[in-house]
Amino acid sequence: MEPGNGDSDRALLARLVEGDDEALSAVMARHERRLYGIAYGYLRNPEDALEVVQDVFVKLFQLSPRIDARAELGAWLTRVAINGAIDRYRQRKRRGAREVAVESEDLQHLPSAPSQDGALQKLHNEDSRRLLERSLLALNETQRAVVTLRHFSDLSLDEIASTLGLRLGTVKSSLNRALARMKTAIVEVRS
Amino acid sequence: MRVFHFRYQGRLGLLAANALGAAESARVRAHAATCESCGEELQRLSDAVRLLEADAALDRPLPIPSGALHARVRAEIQSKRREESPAVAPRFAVFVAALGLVGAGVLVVGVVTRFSRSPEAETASAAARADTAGRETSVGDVAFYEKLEKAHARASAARYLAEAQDVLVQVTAAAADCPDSPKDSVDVTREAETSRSLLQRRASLVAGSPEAFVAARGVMDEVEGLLHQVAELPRCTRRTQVDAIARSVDRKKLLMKIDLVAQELVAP
Repeated sequence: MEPGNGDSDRALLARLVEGDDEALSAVMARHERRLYGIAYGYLRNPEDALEVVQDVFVKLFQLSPRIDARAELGAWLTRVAINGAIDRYRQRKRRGAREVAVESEDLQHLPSAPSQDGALQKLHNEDSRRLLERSLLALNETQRAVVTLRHFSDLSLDEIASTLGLRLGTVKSSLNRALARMKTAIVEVRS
Repeated sequence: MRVFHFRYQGRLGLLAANALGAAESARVRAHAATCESCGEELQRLSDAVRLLEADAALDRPLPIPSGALHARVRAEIQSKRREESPAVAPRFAVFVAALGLVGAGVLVVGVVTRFSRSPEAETASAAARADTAGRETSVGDVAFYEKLEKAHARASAARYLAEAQDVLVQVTAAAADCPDSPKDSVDVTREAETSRSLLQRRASLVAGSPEAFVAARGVMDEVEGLLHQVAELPRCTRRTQVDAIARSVDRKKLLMKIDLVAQELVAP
């Protein structure tokens, strides 16, 4: 076991505040995959997601003295990661690096009308994944953030509300609308 | 039941996402069982959720080794520290100016004292001082320049190590795909070129004043070995080959060692 890996997040944060570099490595080893999953879930781009994760840990190092010692480090990291992903997405949109609208020709890649079992089979299908990604990118920022935290970080609706600074009702309606939007995109192609 | 149709219909997405409490979930599900359009809607929403869940369950490792990410984070922290360090300069300038003022004061006192002595006594003691000072200056100069040269060599070695560290971080994090090459190839042209020039610099450093950084030789040798590996990489290199170098850097804890040795080299 690497040094510091047995410590709680709170203990690691305390060590980090004291300038213990090893604590930073232990925090990174513990959270990097989860944060990468969240950033990737939102951005759908490995390089951008990796840069978001990198920024999260740099911020952690710089801001550790200012983080409330009673705070949950995991929740703090999640909040910084999703906000970082949203910022990066906005920058990318401004640069016009990626088209976010769902183009009708892209939707043609969706596999046609599968049965219940067939749908599960198709989950590993590259075209299905691509369609899913395009559908996610068609959601607005809040909807995408809610869906990402729900499915890629397995947070409860209350936790999502707290992470994004939204009211619970807004989180519920965003999740509902996001799924409806995705369903519509899928149905349109299948029909 | 029809009274609640629109209310339940508006919760089908949350039911599909398993985001309702048990009681409400049971009520909405019961409605969907009796309402054909709601049942179909729930089915389609559940399909979307299953796609999402399957996608989230896919194993997505970091696109670079964990050690390389850690190295990138540390390099970024270092670079931010360096950016912040110029803020120290004005304070340092004030300190130097203060020292200058003190020095000037001492000089004025010296001059006043000197001119207050008698010309005869001054002439006799000046000859004696000139003789002694002449001998001291030549011995002092040699020592002074040797010390200066050594400090310069150590600073150059520290710079060389810092640049080598950058190359090792960059090569392990290289991401640019090579056009017309296998998918997992990365373009390491720049890193290979920098490594070759660093190796040349290392040779001249060692030939110049090897005794200036005896304590750093161990780390410098390890760095040299890895720079040779990077320098010999083809323009488009398989990701696995780059990963092997990253593992080697990680195993040797080389980035940390470089930090320590570089600090030691520039310490007063």
